[in-house]
Amino acid sequence: MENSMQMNLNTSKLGMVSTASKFKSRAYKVQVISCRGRADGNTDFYRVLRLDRTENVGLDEIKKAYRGLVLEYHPDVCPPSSKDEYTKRFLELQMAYETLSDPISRKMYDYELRSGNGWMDERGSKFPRDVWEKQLDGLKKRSHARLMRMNNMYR
Amino acid sequence: MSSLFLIGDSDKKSSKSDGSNIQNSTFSKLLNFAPPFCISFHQFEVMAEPAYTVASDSETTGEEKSSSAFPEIAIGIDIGTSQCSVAIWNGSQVELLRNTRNQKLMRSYVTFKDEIPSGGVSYQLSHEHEMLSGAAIFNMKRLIGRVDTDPVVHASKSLPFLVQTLDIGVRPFIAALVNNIWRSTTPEEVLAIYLVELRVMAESRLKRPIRNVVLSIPVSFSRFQLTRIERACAMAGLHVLRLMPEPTAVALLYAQQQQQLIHDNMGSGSEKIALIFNMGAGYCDVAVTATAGGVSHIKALTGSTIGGEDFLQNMMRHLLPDYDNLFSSRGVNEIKSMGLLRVATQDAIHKLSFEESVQIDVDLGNGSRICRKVNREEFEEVNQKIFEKCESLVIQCLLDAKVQADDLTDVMVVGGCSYIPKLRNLVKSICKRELYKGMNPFEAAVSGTALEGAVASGISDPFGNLDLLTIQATPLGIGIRANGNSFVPIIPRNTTMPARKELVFTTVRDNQTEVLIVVYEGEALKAEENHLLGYFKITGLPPAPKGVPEINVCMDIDASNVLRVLAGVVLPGSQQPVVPVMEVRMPTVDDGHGWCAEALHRAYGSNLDLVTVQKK
Repeated sequence: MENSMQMNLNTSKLGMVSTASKFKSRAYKVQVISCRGRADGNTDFYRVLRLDRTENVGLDEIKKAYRGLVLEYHPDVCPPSSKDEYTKRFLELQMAYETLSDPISRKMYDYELRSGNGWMDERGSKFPRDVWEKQLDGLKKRSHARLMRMNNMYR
Repeated sequence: MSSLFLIGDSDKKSSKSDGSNIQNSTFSKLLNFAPPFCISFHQFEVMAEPAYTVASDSETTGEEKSSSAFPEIAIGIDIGTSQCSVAIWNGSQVELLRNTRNQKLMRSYVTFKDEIPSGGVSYQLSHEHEMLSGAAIFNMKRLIGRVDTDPVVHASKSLPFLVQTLDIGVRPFIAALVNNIWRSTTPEEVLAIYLVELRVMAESRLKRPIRNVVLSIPVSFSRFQLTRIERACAMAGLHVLRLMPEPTAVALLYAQQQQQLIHDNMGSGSEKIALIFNMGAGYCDVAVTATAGGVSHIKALTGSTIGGEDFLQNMMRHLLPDYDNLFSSRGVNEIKSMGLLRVATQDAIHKLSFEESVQIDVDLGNGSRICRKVNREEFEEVNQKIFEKCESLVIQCLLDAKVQADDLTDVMVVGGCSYIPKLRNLVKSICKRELYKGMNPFEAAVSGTALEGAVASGISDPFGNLDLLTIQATPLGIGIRANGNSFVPIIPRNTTMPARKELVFTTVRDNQTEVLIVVYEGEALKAEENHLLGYFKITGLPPAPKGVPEINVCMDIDASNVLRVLAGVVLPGSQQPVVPVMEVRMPTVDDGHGWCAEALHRAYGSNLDLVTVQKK
């Protein structure tokens, strides 16, 4: 439930910013969070960004931390052999950054952290996420292997 | 890059890639091809069979070995609707390559004459003259990957060659007039011929074979259009390393310039937010980027198919209101008149960027003659709608990026239309900024692709000039058809790439055993108004009341911008997906897909429909 609340807040905020934009005020609900890089639902976004949670981290520091980590984990800069792993990490990093760089979603996230609920949607409990993600991983590995085979010919 | 292509290289002369024979024999031989045979520049062993062979490019694995110890630096190519250019990182900076006539910017056109087509890279005769004969095909970037119901294709009917539509969603009929006979071609073929010339030009300049390229593309290109660009490149023997939306290439150049200014190599330092407005002959794109420490983070992209060509067409119709009537038939004389008017109008528009008024005097050869003065105000009035559209793109992009005009550090106007005073003024006034002067507006995009080419080839620079990174965003939303005929984005527009998102859907009928996943790309609310990327069925759902099965649709864009759609089904209470997860690489559609969505609807109605799961 936390997720959908967060998303709703986000969309309504966007709606305010951009009344001119017809793209923002759609009828469908946006429920996007849950394809996270790690199966672990309690990822600490502050830790992902290598920030100390106790301290009052400013937006500039979050941006700075993000940019520094992007240079480490963006799949464009990683060794070709570990593209998959880096893509995963990047997705996690991106999720952490997007949550913490938006004042409203950050507040929500901080609140959830304090109340100890973790950052996991309700569906996670009944949805066999592990199975799903294992399958996705398997498929990814196969596609990756295929991609590598294809890329080889360009070497 | 799993495209298939036909190898027409039946000649016994092997074209091993040692670079020596490329200029002469291979070149002329390879240009000498007719549709639908697309000659691959792949360097195969001698093919004994004279027949055209279909080969998957993966079959070449292991046959090619890189001859040099240094990694090959990919070249950057800016394929413009009107002009093209090639650039490369030369070890210390970006250098634009010149053709034999010492030009850095080359006209984008191919002339079909006497069996051997030739393009604007090498050909000697003037474009203007060729245009009058109907033998020159141009504006291929506007036509590529579009079906004949597309308004852009319809607007292209006024070009001085043949563009015919049947309005049924197939590829348009495009032909050049060669010795009074229409010779049909395709935008991919024209582009491939042109790319071969660019490649030969680059190979002779750099004295090595060229294989890898980074191309700039319009923001509004669909993934299907990207496959057509890749196809054209494959036909020309080029491997696409990256396709960069044009303004993001400019953003990368900007990031490098800022990096050079402040010697600062980590994410620290001040963040600079820049808006890039890029308008050429065919497309208008806007991007907002946040740059610091060599990292260009694309915040938002907007784009549209408006460009110099629209200014030109509006002006031609303004000067000759009877334009469409006069040229409804395509004889040699009509083409000549159209060409003459086109050249004169183009010239006038160009001059109006620097002068308040200009005298037009053109004899169309069919008895009518246009002799009058045109002033800048008139030009601006005739094109009012285009300027308004440009304005809305800039405003939209700022909104999408969640950036106020006051937050901007720099504002760039680049591309072929960048000298039009009205355009410069409108961007300046929205952004409340003077324009950035640090880059050549015609060379910015190609320079950015050359930088990306070097970075993506793994080249490093001792002075840190290549410590660059672009964090790209998706230019268009990607989603599926659900909730009736609605388009439900799964990866919204301006999502950072690589990306992975998922949504849960469910069935609309009791005991529905199959669902149809129709994947679209775009921004329109109605599914069929977006670009169709492909479709597949999930079959074998166990009977269950409607709304019970959870159909999880996940979309994944990896670091190479490859889109995969994954779909799995779970029933509540079960621990296993009830059917194996489907993984489909998109796009899957081919030419003539324009009628697909309609045909699907006719065949299946809403029987295999989906709805989004509403959270309780």
